[in-house]
Amino acid sequence: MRSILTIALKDLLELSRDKFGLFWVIGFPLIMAVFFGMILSFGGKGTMGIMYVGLINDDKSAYADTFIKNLHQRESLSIQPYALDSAERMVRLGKLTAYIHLKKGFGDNMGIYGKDNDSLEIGIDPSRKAESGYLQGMIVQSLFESMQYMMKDKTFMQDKIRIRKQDIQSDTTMSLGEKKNTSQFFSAMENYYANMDTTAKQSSPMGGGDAKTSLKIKSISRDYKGKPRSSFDITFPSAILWGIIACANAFAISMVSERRKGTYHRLRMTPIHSFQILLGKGTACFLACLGSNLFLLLLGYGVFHVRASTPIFLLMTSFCTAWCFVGIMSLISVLGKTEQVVGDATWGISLIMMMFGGGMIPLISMPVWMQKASNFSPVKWGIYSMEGAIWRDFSFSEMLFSWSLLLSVGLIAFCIGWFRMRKMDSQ
Amino acid sequence: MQRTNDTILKYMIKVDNITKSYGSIQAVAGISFTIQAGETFGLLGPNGAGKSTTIQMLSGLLRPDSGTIEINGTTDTTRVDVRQNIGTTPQAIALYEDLTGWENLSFFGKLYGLSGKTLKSRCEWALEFSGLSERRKDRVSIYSGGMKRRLNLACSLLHEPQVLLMDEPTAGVDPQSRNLIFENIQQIKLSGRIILYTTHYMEEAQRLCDRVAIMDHGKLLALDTVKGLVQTYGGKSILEAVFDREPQHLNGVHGKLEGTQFRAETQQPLETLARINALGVNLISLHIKQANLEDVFLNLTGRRLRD
Repeated sequence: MRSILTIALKDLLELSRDKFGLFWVIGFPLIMAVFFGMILSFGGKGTMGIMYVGLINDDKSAYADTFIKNLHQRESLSIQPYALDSAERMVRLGKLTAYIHLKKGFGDNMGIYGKDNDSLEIGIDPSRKAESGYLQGMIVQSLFESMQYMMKDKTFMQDKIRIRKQDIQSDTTMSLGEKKNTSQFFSAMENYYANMDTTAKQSSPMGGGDAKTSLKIKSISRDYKGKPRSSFDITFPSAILWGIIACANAFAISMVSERRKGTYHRLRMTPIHSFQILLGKGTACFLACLGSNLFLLLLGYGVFHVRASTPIFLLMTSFCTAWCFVGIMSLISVLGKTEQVVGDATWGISLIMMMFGGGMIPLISMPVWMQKASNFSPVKWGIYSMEGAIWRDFSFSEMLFSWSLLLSVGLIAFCIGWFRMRKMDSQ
Repeated sequence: MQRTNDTILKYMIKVDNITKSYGSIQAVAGISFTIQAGETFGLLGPNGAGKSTTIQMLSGLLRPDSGTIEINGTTDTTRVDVRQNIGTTPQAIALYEDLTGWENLSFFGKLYGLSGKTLKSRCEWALEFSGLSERRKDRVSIYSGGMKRRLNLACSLLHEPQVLLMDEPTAGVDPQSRNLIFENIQQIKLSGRIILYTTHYMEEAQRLCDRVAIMDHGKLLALDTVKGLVQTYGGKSILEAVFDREPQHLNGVHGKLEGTQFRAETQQPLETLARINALGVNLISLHIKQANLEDVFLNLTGRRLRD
């Protein structure tokens, strides 16, 4: 065991001093995860920048109609009518960014000289702070434009002023002085609208009134069960596999490099079995895979909010995937006698495995035939089980299937590599 | 390197009619020899003679197709405990270039089971032995060829092996570094270890080895001390002299005289020289070319060592 660890630590020390090797193990996967994560998050819904919003109109007033018409004019919003419960469900599932609920009395309360702002409600996941702020801005702008439009409507405004004057007279909270002053203001407004020339083009008085800017927000926590929370949930598992493959390739090449430079012969002249040498290399590869894995997961967790729904599954997956590629590394390392041959072989095999396994195109975006072909790539099972632990919410039995496959592939490849290595040693 | 205990003195290697083939090429074709405790044994031959294959079989890397190798009574040299007592200096510089000198020594020391203070003191010794104490923290990649060779040798001595197998340890180094390595090897010789030394430089074999086996095409052509080989296979020495005047007669001195220039081929050049002295002429110049291992190889194979 001591010899195995000694070899493993030596290999890790060598890797740590190889800046180019480290780039492929850590830097490249990170770039892949972040770059493609950002691309997918901007373009994932098909049209860049469109926010899907459900609309529930319980008011049916003219003011509500004007407001809705203004909302539809926003290019960055896609407004669809919904019933309240289905809109809530869609927001929870992440199929709608938010919903806007125009409650009964919206036209009276939110409109010109309205009393409160409870009659407009936005339902959105509290974590979507940026989208929430953006949507509120759009709503306030639409409210403002609606008021401007409605203030040009003489009949509407005369009706509004009359109701408001009656409200003032019956209000018990206002003093006589306040009532007198406010009534005078509304009388002046009544006079303005009575003499208003409806044929002339004009702007509304006071530039549009006092649009309410404080909106009621209802928190609808999104239910992420079985769905990625963000595009990074998809890109990080792929990136982790890129890192693991880079580790396997680095160690496969280092194995052939040792053989060519003579250090492997020297190792074999020491009082250890050649199986221990392979295990030492394998341990180094395994630890490097776990290290790369851990680094990307921590970064994903800390910066990109990648969360494991079942952390213990993620841990098991990391172990199984690392073992699988240790086996593949030992097999690839005996495919040739020079670094050039093994290097070409590793990247050729890796690219095919990654292409069909979901390392380049996310598994959920693959056409059906490709998804079937991906079953033959261990990369697919690595990514699949990693996604299973992060967002697919796999059960233990579902995970067990992927783990078994990964462990079996690793074991078979390791054994073939070991037998081939023994044969090469005896030549 | 002061270890001269009984274990070392009793050690011996017996090689009995071993063969090894790679496909249709027979690398080693039935060679036999014995190396006694404390002996430095040379395998001299050109590239492709089968020296490295022999070393690899002795170090347990390869199994002979036939024949036996016995090291201190054990016939299976692939056994781990046998390898514990063997130190091998490979022909290639088998070091990790991205590690420092110290890290290389420490790594190989650990593989030979050294640890703690023993490991540290052996690494210190190895660095001093190879003259690299000042460069211990430098990566091997920036060492000169000679420094790498010396470290390559030191790595095989860390665990104080009873047998040292050296496969062309001076290949590709400059004369100065070669002399340093010779000094190192002579130091090792003093410790009483068995040394098997392969080379295609006859000067090295002549300078370092107690006995030398001449190998070519996988066969052992001759085996003896350097003196014995030269006497048996080296042929006559050549004596060339220029006299101050032409002697009237040679008085039984065998040779060819052309004016004042004399040339003789003789087994005993000093005796011939004494007879010349009796001719009563003065020597203006004298050149004696004694037979060496190069001549031995030439006479045995019809080729030069480096052909």
